[in-house]
This record gives sequence, C-alpha cells and structure tokens, in this order.
Amino acid sequence: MEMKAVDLGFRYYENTILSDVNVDLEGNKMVSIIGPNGVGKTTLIHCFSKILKPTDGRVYVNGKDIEDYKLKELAKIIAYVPCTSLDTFPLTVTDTVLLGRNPHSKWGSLNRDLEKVQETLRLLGIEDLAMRPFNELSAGQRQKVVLARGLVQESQILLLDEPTANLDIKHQMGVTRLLRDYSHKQGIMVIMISHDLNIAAKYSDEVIMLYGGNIFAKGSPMDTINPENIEAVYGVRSKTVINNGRPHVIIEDDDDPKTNICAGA
Amino acid sequence: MPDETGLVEAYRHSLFLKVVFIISCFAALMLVIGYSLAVGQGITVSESYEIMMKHLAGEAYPLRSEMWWKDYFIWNNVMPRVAVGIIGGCGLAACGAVMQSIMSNPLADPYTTGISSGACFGAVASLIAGVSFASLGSGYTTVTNAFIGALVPTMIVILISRRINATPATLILIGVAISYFFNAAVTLMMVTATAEDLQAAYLWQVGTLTGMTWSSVPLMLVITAAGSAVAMFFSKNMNLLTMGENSAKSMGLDVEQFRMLCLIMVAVMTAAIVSFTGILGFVGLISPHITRLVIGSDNRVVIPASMIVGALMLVSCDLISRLVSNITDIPVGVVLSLLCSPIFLLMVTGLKRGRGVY
Repeated sequence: MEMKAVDLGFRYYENTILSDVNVDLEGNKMVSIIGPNGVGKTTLIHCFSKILKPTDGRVYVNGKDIEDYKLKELAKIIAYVPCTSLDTFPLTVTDTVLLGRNPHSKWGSLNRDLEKVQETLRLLGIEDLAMRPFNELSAGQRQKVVLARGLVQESQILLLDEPTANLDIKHQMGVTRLLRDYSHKQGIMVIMISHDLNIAAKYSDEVIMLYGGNIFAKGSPMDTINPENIEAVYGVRSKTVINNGRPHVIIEDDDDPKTNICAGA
Repeated sequence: MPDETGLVEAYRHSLFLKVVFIISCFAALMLVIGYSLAVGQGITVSESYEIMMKHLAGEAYPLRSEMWWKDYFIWNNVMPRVAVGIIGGCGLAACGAVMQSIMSNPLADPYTTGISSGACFGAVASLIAGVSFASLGSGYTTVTNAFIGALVPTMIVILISRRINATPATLILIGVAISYFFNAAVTLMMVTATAEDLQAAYLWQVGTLTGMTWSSVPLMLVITAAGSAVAMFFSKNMNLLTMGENSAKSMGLDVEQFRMLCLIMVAVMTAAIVSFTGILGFVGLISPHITRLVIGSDNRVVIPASMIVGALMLVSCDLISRLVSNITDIPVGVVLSLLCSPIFLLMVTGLKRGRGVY
C-alpha cells in the first residue's frame, strides 16, 4: 500500500491551512502526525481520505489519483476514525461497529460480520459493552468503539484522529501498541494524529511533524523528536532522554526550580 | 464453543424482539381497522372483516338489501378514509424518520424544509383566491395546487444548497425562512377572505380524513409505496449518518448527494399525502420517536416500524374522532395532538427514567 501527496495545499477561502505538503509513505508501518493545534493535521488526513478535496496538488493511493476512486471503492482501501462522534440517534455498540463492514457487506454476510465485530471488541477489551447503546458509554469507551469500527473495515490504510485522546495511560499504551502490532502483523499502514509526543516516539516507525501548514520534519522518532524541533514547533523548552533507542521528552518551564531533586524536601 | 456465538445469538435475539414489536403493532392496526369499519353500522368487528373479505372476493348482494347497504357504507364511506389514514400515517412517519436521520435532528419532521407552508399556500390560493397553478380538471384544483405548492420549498432548498456548504442546520434554517415567507402569504390571503372561505382554508391547514373517496387513494398509494420502498433501501445509509458526516463519507457514502435524494423523496411523498388530507401534523414527528423509544435507533427497523406506528396512530385517532362526534367533525389532526402528546410524555417518563431520550 502506498499513500502519496504531491504539492498538496488546502485553503478555506483566504485562509491557507496547508501548502506544498509532500508525503510519500509506503509499506506496513505506524506513522504519527504531530504538531501544535490548528496546524492542519486533521485537514491533512481529511485530504488523505477524500473527506476534503485539496485546493492544490494531488493525493495518490496505491498509485491512483484519489479523485478517480469512488467513495465506496476507497472505503475498502482507507478507513478513517474521527476524534469525536455524533450520538443524536445512538445505535448499540454492535450496530455501530457493524457499520464499518458497510463497504464489504452483501446479502447473508451478517453472521460472518458479527463474528468479526465480536473478535475486534474482544481485542480491545470491550466485549461486555456489545449490546449497550453508544450514548451511554464514557468518552474512552466511545473512542474504543469507534476504533473498533475502523478496524473491522479491514482497510489497507487506517487513518486515526487522536485515537487515544480520552484514554488513561494504560489504555493509551495498550491501544497504541495494538495499532502498531496490527500494522506490522496484518500488513496495513496506520497513520495517526497524536498530541502525546512520548507515545508517538515510543510506538511509531515514522513521524511527520507539521508546522505552519508545512512539513517541518519527517523521519524516525530519533530524527524528529528532539529539543530543537520541539522548541521551534511548539515553543516549548525540553530535553530528551534516550530510552530503548527512542527519545523520551521531558518538558521544562521557566519557573521550574533550578534543582532537579524532586522527591522529599 | 458457546462463547464464539454469544454475540451472534444476542444480536439475533434483539432483532427478534424488534420484529415482535412490529408484528404487535400490525396486529393492533388490523384490530383498529376492523373496529373502524364496524362503528356506526351496528355490526361486530368480525362481521366487518367478513364483509370486507366478501367484497374483495367479488360477492354481490341484492340491490338495496340490508347487506347491500352495509357493504355500500363500509366500502364507500368508511374504507376510503381508513385507507387514506393508513397510507398517510405510513408515509408521513417514514418521511419523518428519514428527515430526522438526514438532518441528524430529533426535531425534524416531514415539513422541515417548508413543505407544509408551500402546500398551504397552494391550497389556500385555490380555496380563497380561486387561483389554479395547473389546469387538471376543475374538481382537483385544491389538490393539484397543494401538490405543486408542496414541492416548491424543497426545490428552493435544493437550489440554494448547491451554492453553499449545506450543513443540516443550514438546510433547516433555509426551510424555516421559506416557511415564514409562505405562511405570511397565506395569512395575507386569509385576512381578505370571507368567513366561509376562511373556515375551509383553516380546516385544510389542520388536516382531516373526512370526505375522502377512493379517487384520493391511487396516486397517494403508488407514491407512498414507492417512496417507502426507497426509504427502506436507504435505511442502511441513514445508519452510516449516525456516526457523523465525515465518518459516513469514509465508509463509502456520498453524503451531500444522498441527502438531496432523500429530500426529493420526502417532498414528493409528503406532497402526495397532504395535498389530499391537508397538513396532518405531529404524526410524522412523533411516530419515529415512539418507535425508537421501544426498539432503538437502527433505521433498518425504525423505518418500517414507524410506518406501522404512524398508520396505527392516524387510524385510531380518526376512529376516536368519529366515536366522539358523528355530526360536528373534529379534525383528526386535533385528536392526534390531544391524545398522542400525553402518550408520548408518559412513554418518555416511563421508559427513560433518569436518562435522556437520546
């Protein structure tokens, strides 16, 4: 599978969100998109999934222009999981996840689809929620349900908008690890937006750092997540320690005490 | 391994309960129809079924015999209004469910894009000003006027929405603006009208099943049947919309195009019904909600189930209006609101104690 953007740009009227973005991603790996708020991360993956039409440049999926795909055809290749979901007319968890089978559904496939749903719910540890209405779940549970919906779509490329934003630290690790293993073992490309630099550094194969509507840096976590880049992009001072060959960010503030002794006093 | 099939079984069971609900409502509808036919004839419910069956089987009675009169009364007086009640209830409920889904808004109903105001304008123009939009035989001026008038607001909504980013809230607001425009035009005509015309125009706006004849049925039936079939075929796509527009798109649905198709479908269906009955309010808004309260929001069952609930509501309320008074006709629209609002409130407090409706 291949996801390629050539001179991609996006404008809302006079506001330029993205300009001259060039991305060339290939193979089964875990890619994190990081960058400050309002930098165009969500717009970028919306362009990748044909939810938005870029105002400049082109997006190619598996070598074919994304404009030449029908939405249903594309849905078999690309799945997209948003960071928030509506709950005006809530379905049960099972029906919600089952929606992800839509691009593949045909008559008489219900039993097989239900088994896939069950398998995925079990994988995410939310099997017990299966028959509950979506609107009665917590934010973290909802996020897992929507993620399950993305997984049962069985696409080659999975686009995720902050899939772990509402999860506690254990579930953040669990879900991100699951996504990484899933991409390596099932041979799919996972592209996720993340605000947690340490989670991104720990589990990603590749990092794309956006700044001012452009790609500021891309490459392995070691090449991208470092104090200079973080200061330039986020305006935050930090230092990184290397743990198991991956960077770990420790943030610093101006009014931090000069000593580093924290425990006791 | 029982565990492997756990979800499949639980899901099948929940589906079974939904089917049971649909069948019970259908049985209740059949009962109410039987009772409707029997009322005012001094015959029992089972006799009324018998007469219906015999009529359909082509049985003929001696002219002006007792049975002939009963058959005549049932077939020509009561049956048309029951038939219109069933078709109208089904159609408006289906339109309501579709409109609520595509607008992602529980307050949407078949008239959200201003259909009722357009239809009113057409009807009142014929009743008061004697204006005809199309010359299709003099007996049907009000009906054709209302039908054409009903389609205008949706056409305007669709034309405008092609030029803008038409979010559901925008579409609803455009509909509201159009409604106000046509309602003002209607009021303008009404203040100049005579008392008699005024009453006719007013009653048309409340909606009634009185005076329906078989000639009202064919057009309504064909359009409602076709529209409902399309609505059920679309129900899966409406489920995709429950996840939000972007998600629906990413699962393969062309949201804008789908929404426009649904708007056109709702407009034609609603126009075909209200042009004969007048503006029957409430049934299109409330029957999908009553249905969802009991069986959840899966549109694949909500649409057929609300159709039966809608028919049941409309036919029952028409029956009640006939029972209460045979001389001065209470419009069915009034009975609908008077009876179904409290029922809905009771259902909300009973079934959703401590929770929201959605």
